[in-house]
Amino acid sequence: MSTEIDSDAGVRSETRPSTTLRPDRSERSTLFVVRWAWDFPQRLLCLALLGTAFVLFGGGKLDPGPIESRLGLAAAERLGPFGQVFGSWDPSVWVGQLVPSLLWAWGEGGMPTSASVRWPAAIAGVAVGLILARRASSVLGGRAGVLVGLCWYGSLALMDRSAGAGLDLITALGTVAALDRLLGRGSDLVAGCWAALAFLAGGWPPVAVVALTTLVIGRPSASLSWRLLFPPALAAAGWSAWALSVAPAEAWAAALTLPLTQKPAWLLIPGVLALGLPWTPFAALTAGRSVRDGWPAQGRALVIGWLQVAGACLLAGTLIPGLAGAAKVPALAGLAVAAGACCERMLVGGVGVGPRRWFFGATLVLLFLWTGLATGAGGYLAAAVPYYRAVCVTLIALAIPAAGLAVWAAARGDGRKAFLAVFALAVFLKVAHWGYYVPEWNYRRSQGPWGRAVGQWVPPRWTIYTAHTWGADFAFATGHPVRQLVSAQHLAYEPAGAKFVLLLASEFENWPSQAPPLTKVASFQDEYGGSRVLARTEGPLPWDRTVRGRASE
Amino acid sequence: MRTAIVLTALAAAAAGVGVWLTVETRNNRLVWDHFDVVKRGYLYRSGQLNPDQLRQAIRMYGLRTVVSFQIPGAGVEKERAIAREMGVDFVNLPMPGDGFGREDQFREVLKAVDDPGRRPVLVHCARGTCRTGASVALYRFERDGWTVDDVAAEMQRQTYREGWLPGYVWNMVKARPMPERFEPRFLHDQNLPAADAPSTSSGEGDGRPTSGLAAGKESSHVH
Repeated sequence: MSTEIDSDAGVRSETRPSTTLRPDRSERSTLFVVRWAWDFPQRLLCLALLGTAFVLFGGGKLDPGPIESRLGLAAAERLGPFGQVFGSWDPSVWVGQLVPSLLWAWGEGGMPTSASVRWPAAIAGVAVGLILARRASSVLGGRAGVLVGLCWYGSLALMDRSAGAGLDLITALGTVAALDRLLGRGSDLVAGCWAALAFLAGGWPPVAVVALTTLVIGRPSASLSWRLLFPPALAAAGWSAWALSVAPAEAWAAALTLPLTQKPAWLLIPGVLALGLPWTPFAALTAGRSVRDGWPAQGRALVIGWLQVAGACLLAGTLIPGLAGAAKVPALAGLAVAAGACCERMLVGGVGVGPRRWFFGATLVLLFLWTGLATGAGGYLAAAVPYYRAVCVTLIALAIPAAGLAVWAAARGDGRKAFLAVFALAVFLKVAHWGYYVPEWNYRRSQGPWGRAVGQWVPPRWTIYTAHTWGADFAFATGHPVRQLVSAQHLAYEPAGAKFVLLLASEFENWPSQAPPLTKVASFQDEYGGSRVLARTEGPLPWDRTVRGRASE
Repeated sequence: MRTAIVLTALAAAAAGVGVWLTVETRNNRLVWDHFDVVKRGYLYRSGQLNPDQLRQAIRMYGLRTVVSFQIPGAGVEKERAIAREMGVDFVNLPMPGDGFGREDQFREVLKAVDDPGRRPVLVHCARGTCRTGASVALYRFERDGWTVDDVAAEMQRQTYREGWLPGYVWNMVKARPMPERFEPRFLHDQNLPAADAPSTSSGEGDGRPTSGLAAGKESSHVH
C-alpha cells in the first residue's frame, strides 16, 4: 500500500493496487451506523428506517396536484382499462395506477382522498428502494446495499414524489424491477412479468424503456428474448380486448397514442440530476479506475449496467417524445445505485486522488450551497414568517456545523466524515421539505381549501355535476364524484333526486330554460376573485329519503 | 489549530448575524411584521407596520384602504395622517386585542373589500394574529366559503394558537352548509307514554321509530 499527499488540496490519500479489493475492516473505525448495518437483520432494519424517515414520514401530507388528482378522481369511479375523469374515459390514467388507489380508497371507506394517491406512490418508492438495495447487497455487500438504499430514499425525488415533477413511482416499480432482473438474472419470464406490470400501469413507454436498455446494455443474457416480450405482449392483448369491449375504440387508441403527443424533454437531464440530489454528484466517481477496481466483477457489472441504463434513459427520454415520463425514475435509480456503490468505496477507502478530490469537492459545494440557502432564505423566513421560524432556526443552526464538518473532513481527507456531512444534508432537505415546502404548497398552491369549500355543501358521496371541465385538483378536493354534463338538458336524465351543479356565475345566469330549473345553494370566490355558484335542482335530499324510508316501514 | 480558528470565527460570525437579525426583527425594522397576501388585488394582512413600511406597502400593492384594529392613540393618528397624505381610505375599528370584536366591525372590512373602488385593502392590528385573523376568517367564510378547518389552519399558520376565534367568527356567518346537508334538523320519536293523557291504543309508543313526514302523526316531529 502506498500513501500519497496531494499538494494542491492538502489531501492525504491512500492508493492501493487493484488486487487489494478491500482493506481489512478492522483497520478502520467505521461509522457505527455503517458497521451496524452489516448483518442482514440490521441491514433490513436500516433500510426500513431510511424508507420510513425519508419517504413514508409525512407521506400523505402534500396535497395532490392536477396529475395525481386525475388519478384520485378516477379512483372514485368504477374500475376500467383506463380511468374515468369527469365521467369520461381518461387515456392518461392506466389500470395499473388505478388499482392501488382504488384499494386504498376502499380501505378508507370508498371515497378517495389525497392519501389514496400519495400513499401507494410512497409505498411503491419504498419497494423500488428495497429492490435496488437487495441486488446491490448480493453483489457488492450489505453495506453497499444500505448505501444504495440511502441514495435512493434520501434523494429529493423520493422525498417529494409528486407527479408534477414527472415521477410515476407505480409504473416505475414495474420498470425498475424488470431492469433489475435483467441486470441480475438476465432476460427471463420474471423480468417480462414486471415489464407487463409496467405496461398496465403506464402503457408502452415503460416497455419501450426496458427494450431500449436491453440494446444499450448489450449483454447476451439480457437481450430481447421471447421470455421478456411475451408477458407484456400478452398484457397488451388482454388489456386491449378489455378496453375495446367496455370503451370506444377511440379511447383505446388515445391511450396508446397519447405519449406521442408530447414534445422532446430537453430539461430531462438537469431535472433528473436535480431530483437525485444530494447524491447524484457521487455517481460520477465511477469514472475513477480506483473506484471501479474496488468492486468485484459482478458488482462492477451491476453498477456499470445501471449507469448504462441511466444514460440510455436520459438520452432516449430527452429525444424521443413520450419516453421522458417512463425514463425519469429508472434513470434516477441507475444514478442512485452508482452513487451508493461509490459512497461505499469512499467509506472503505483505497481510492485514488482524483475521485477523492471530486468527492470532497462535491461535498463542499453541496454543503456550502445549502448553508448559503439555509442562512439566507431561512434567515429571512425566520424573521418574516413566524410559522416557519422554528424550522428555519433549526436548519440554520444545523447547517453551519454540517458545513464545518465538511470543511474539516476535506482538510483531513476523511471520507467518512464527509459522507456524514452529506447524510446530514439529506436529512436537512427532508426537514425543509416537510417543514416548509409541504405547508407552503398546501397553503399557496393547493386547491384543497377551495375544493373543500364547495364539497361541504353537498351530502356525502353525492355527485357534483358541471357544465365544463374544472381543474382536476380543484374537482378532486371537493371530495365528491364530479361529472361533466354533455349539455344542461342532460341533467334531467341523471338519477332521481336533487342534483348539485357547480357553475361559473355566467353559466348560472344563462342556465337554459329547457334544462331542469336550479336554485342557488351557495356562491364562492376563487383565488383570483372570480365567482363560482353551487346550485341544485328540486328534489329530495338523501336525508329526506332516509327519514321517509324509515317512516314507511 | 487553523481549522479550529476558522470554525470558531464562523460560529462567532453566525451568532453575531443571528443576534443582529433578532434585534432588527424585534424592532420591526427588518421585515413587515406578519405581512401576507390573503388574495392578490383584494385583501392583504399584516401586523403594525412602521410609517416607511406602510408607505411602501401602499405603493407596492396599490392599496386603496387601510383598516386598523388598533385602539385609538398616537399610532393610529400617525397612520391616519399617512393615509391622508397618500390619498387612501383609512378605517379604524378598535377592538380588544384577543380578536373578539363585534360582527358589524368585521363586516366593515367585507364592505371595503367588496367595493371595487376601495380595494385592495390592508387589514392589520398590532401583531397581525388575532384581530386581523378574525377579520380574514370572516372573509374566508363569507366570500370564499372555506371550511372551519381550513380557516382554523390558516389562522394557526398566522401564529394564532388559542383556537377560539374560528368558531366565534363562524357564528357570524350568514350562509352555512348545515341547513342543506342536515335536513330535517331534528327528529323526535315520542315513544314515552304521555304524562298528561291516557295512553292510546296500538300504533303509538310501540318503540318503533316513526316520522312526522309520513303521515303527520302527533307522536313524531321533524323540523
